[in-house]
Order: sequence, then structure tokens, then C-alpha cells
Amino acid sequence: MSLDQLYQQIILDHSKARHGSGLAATEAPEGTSTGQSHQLNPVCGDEVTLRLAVQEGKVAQIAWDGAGCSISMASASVLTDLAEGMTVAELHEVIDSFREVLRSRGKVHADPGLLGDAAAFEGVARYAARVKCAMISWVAAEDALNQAA
Amino acid sequence: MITTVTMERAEYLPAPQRFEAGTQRISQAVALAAAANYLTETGLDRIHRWEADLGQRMVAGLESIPGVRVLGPAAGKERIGLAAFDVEGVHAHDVGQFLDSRGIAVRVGHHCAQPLHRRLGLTATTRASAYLYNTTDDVDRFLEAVAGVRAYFRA
Repeated sequence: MSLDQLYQQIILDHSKARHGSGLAATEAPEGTSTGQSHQLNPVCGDEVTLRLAVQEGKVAQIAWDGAGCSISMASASVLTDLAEGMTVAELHEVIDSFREVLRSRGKVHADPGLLGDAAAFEGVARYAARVKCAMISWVAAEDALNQAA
Repeated sequence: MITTVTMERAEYLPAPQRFEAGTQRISQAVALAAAANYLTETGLDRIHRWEADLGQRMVAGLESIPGVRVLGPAAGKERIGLAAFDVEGVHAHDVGQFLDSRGIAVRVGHHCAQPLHRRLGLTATTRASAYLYNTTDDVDRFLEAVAGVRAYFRA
């Protein structure tokens, strides 16, 4: 597998764009229920703090701060785009699907209909050392979602 | 190791022997002796000089690459055959992955020195190590690869 298959264009773009980044400067919308989660990868020191706001059973907003590699930052950015507007149940389903693909060592293919741009992280599953990079913000989102919903 | 075993009970030698049951590690002892002889025949002084030369070549080369910051002694100062460095705008894990794809193995992370990294304003760095089996060509290939990192990640 080539480096370009791991670092798909969409991942490199999102690692720079970082949608949802800037937690400290972002207020949660009024009338929403929020959850916040801090996740750390002790192996490399990467960390993400993510806040998720829910209103009427839907994800109203995701805001996060993080320091890490391009995979972890791009993954948080893609998650933000994907999750906002989803129902709580839909986001749980997407997170479960993403986790299954990432932990499959390449055996389970991503469903682009369900995962959207997050399907681009399929290649990460072949690099065991990088799976946590892709998962860190999704684990934070799952934790925050459980608190907020 | 035991002293006496009956159907009812077992008695053991005092520690540490009581924990050293079974066959001694003969193959490992033989291999260690072979390794020590190899290093002695090669010459520890020669190995030290070679490592130091490779380290200098590595650091001098890294210092000349734009956006690369070498940690520790600058070129010309005494150091062993390794260099930890930061590539501006590219996380160490990405640097490592890029080098790996070119057949170059490095270590990435905080190298069990988190407080030092924090003091230096970094979360993780890349570290390349050379030894007696590395050549100057290896170092040059490594430097050429590092020089391509920032362009690949558009840093």
C-alpha cells in the first residue's frame, strides 16, 4: 500500500482546514445539552478535547481543541462535518461503523453512504500504529454524546 | 529449583535459585559471547569513531534543511550517532510514516522525555539513530527523504 493511499487528498486537506477546531473560542448554542471529553494517546502525546451539543435529539454543534498528527486532526475535522445535524442514534451508528472499519486491519471496507468523507480513513486500518490517531476524536465524541444525550 | 519433592509438599532452594528452574539460557549465553567477540574484533574505538562521523553527517545535513530544527548539540559538537529533530508544521508521526514509505526506520514520539519536549515547545519529535552497520549512503538517503517531508504535507 502506498503512502498516497494512506494520506488521501481529503485527509491532507482536512488536516489543514480543521473544521470545528477552536473550542475555547466557541460557545455552545443556547438551549442545548452538552457533553465534553478529553482523550489522550499516551504513546505519542496527542490529545483532543471535544464538546458536543445536542438539541431535540440532534447534534447541534461539535467544537474541539487538539494537538496531533495529520490523521488525528483530519479525522476530528471530518467528524465535525459529518456529525452536525445527525440524530443521536445516527451518530452512534456512524461511530460504531467507523470503529469496525478501523479495527479490521483492512478486512472491513468503509461504506461511503454511511461514513461519507470518513471513508477516506479506510487505509489507516492497515497501519496498526495509526488506528488510535484516527479514532481519538471519535472516542471523545462518543463519550461526549453519552453525556449530552 | 527444588531441594525435596514428595507427594505432600515441595521444598525449594533459597532465592534467587528457587526462581531459576529448568535449563540455563545456553544459546543466549553463546550468542552474547559471539556478539561481544564481534565488537571486540571490529574495535570499539573504530565503532565509536564511525558512529560519531555518521552523527555529524546527519546533524550537519539536517541543519541545512529549511524548517528542520535539530535538538541537542549543533554540528561540530560532540554527539553520538543519532539526532532528534522537529520538522516545522509536520507532526512526528507523519514524518515517520513518510520516511517508512522510503524504507527508513526512525523512532517518533516523546522518547520517554515528555517534560523536556514540553520545555522545548514540542509534543513529539523524530529520532534517527545510526550504528556500525549504517553507511554514509544511508545517511544521505535519509537526509534526502527528510528534505521532501514538508512539501508532501504542504507545510
